[in-house]
Amino acid sequence: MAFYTIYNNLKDKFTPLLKESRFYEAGVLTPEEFVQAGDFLVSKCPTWSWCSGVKDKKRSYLPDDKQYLITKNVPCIKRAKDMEYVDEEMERIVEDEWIETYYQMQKENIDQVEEIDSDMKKLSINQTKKDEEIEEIEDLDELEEMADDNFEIVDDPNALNEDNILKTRTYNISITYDKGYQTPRIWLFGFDENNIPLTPEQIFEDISEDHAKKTVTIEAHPHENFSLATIHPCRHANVTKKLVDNMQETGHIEIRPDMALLIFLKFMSSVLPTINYDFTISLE
Amino acid sequence: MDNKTVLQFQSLSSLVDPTFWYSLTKEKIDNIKLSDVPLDIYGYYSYNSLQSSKSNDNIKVPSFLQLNSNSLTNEIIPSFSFPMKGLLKNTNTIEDFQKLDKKGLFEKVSKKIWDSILNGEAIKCPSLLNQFLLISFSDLKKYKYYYWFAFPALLLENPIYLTNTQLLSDYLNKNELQSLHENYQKLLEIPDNIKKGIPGYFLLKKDDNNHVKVGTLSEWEMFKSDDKNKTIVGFADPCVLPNNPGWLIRNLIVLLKKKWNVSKVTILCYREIAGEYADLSQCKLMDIEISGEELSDNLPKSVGWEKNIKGQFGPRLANLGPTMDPNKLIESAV
Repeated sequence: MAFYTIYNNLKDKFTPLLKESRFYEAGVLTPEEFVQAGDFLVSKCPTWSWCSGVKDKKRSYLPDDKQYLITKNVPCIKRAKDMEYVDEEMERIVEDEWIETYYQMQKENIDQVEEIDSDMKKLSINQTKKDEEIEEIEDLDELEEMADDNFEIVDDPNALNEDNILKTRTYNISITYDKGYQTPRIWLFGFDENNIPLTPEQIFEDISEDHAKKTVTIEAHPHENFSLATIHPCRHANVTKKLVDNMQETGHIEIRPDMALLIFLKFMSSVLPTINYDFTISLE
Repeated sequence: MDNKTVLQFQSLSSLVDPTFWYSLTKEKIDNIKLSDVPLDIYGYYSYNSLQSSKSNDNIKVPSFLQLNSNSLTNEIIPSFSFPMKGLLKNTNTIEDFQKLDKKGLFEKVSKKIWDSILNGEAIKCPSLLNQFLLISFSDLKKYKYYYWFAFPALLLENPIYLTNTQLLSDYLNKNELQSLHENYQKLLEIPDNIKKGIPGYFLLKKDDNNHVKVGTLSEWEMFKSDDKNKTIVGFADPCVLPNNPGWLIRNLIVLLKKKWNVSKVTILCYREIAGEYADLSQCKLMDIEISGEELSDNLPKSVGWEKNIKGQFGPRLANLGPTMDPNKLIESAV
């Protein structure tokens, strides 16, 4: 098992549960606040729903039927590098609080585990890319061989020619409660234009460049039996706090902890600029 | 618009969540083992298209037939969704997969649909109209899954024609739309209804005083056209195209023809955009013509194999090595 995953599991195990709210103070959530924020999200954006996950991975500090949140079939038409529009204000906050601090962290060797992980990540992706390409070609050849020459096509007068219909990548996005960092954490599973699962390498194309290289890893999902791309939550609390402070200063509404996931999804959209998930209600 | 054109249905596409392949793999190892007896499986589809607001008004993704970790047991149908029952034939070797009697299996499912129309079961349990077939071979060592779906649609002798299309909101006023939505919700609130797919195919009728009545297929006699109203049959439409209905209305049209010898009817493509408030702006009414003689009891021809990524009839491959293979996981994580 990956060194990093072990580290994370240990962190998860030994970090005591947050009992008292420290949302305004530190941008973190208690499990109860996570559930309240999830309920609020589901009520405002019904494309999100609660999931119970697999039985042997249940976390006792969350209700059985509210282990994590999911939204499915989220369209993603363009790749992140083709994205022109940028929310500059958001970008600034996220950048300042996240990218730069992440660099600093690495420089200062605060968290060697992450540095090692991130470096190794780059290495292994470069190595596996060629293998993946070869495998893809092999897969296609294999399918070609399986074509059935005797397949009888029945004429359908009411068939639609679908060659010109726009097809798009879609994502299943889940949000879990990260006990170690006391924040929400986002996980991505993608399908290509033909609903075939995307490889991790392809998923990186839908994450803004700065983050794809630094803050995204492939890890075991805490409630399901497979591994997914996930955005590292080490700066989530700081960014949340910063955004809440900003909104409290400038906005007319009071930000409550149960709005945390809307805020979270808002800043995640600068990391996933082309994945159009639903966080439709306005906070302003 | 009163130009008669051939009505064209958008085919249904499949989307298999990796949790389905995972649960099939586990089930295969623990219980199924080498048996390749066809199994009943359960999928679902939705009438709710996700349309993200603000930045991207134009993106509409159709709903797919979806399978997930519950599909082998049928525990849960997600909200906005209706069940589809399927037959899974999973082979033990790639050779068996290639040699499968595809035509025979396809006909078996078509016949189940046809029988449910003949004996009237489909009127009480409309989900019988959307039964599907899945053939697969799971390469458990490499986490590769070869699969091919079919969604049989029974064919009539003549093409079905479209004579008029209009927005539902041009036919119903605001109050009527509201009333339709409320009454449709009442159908959805009964869990047994969802199980049988009753709200997947339904009837509606304008009443006096800004009301719209919503009924089930069993209430046909009450809802069929009178001097004030046309007959409108609604269906939960996974399609998002403006001038085409989705695939899943096809067998209902055959039912209308066989059971009540309907030759003209209006279909409502019920498409709801999820949000804080229900948005029915994408709902379409289509007047259609079903010509031809009364149908005999003989099994009609049917179509519906899903095309592969090249747009040809052939199997697809999901390679889940990168996310499920423990060896690969070590490779990509260390």
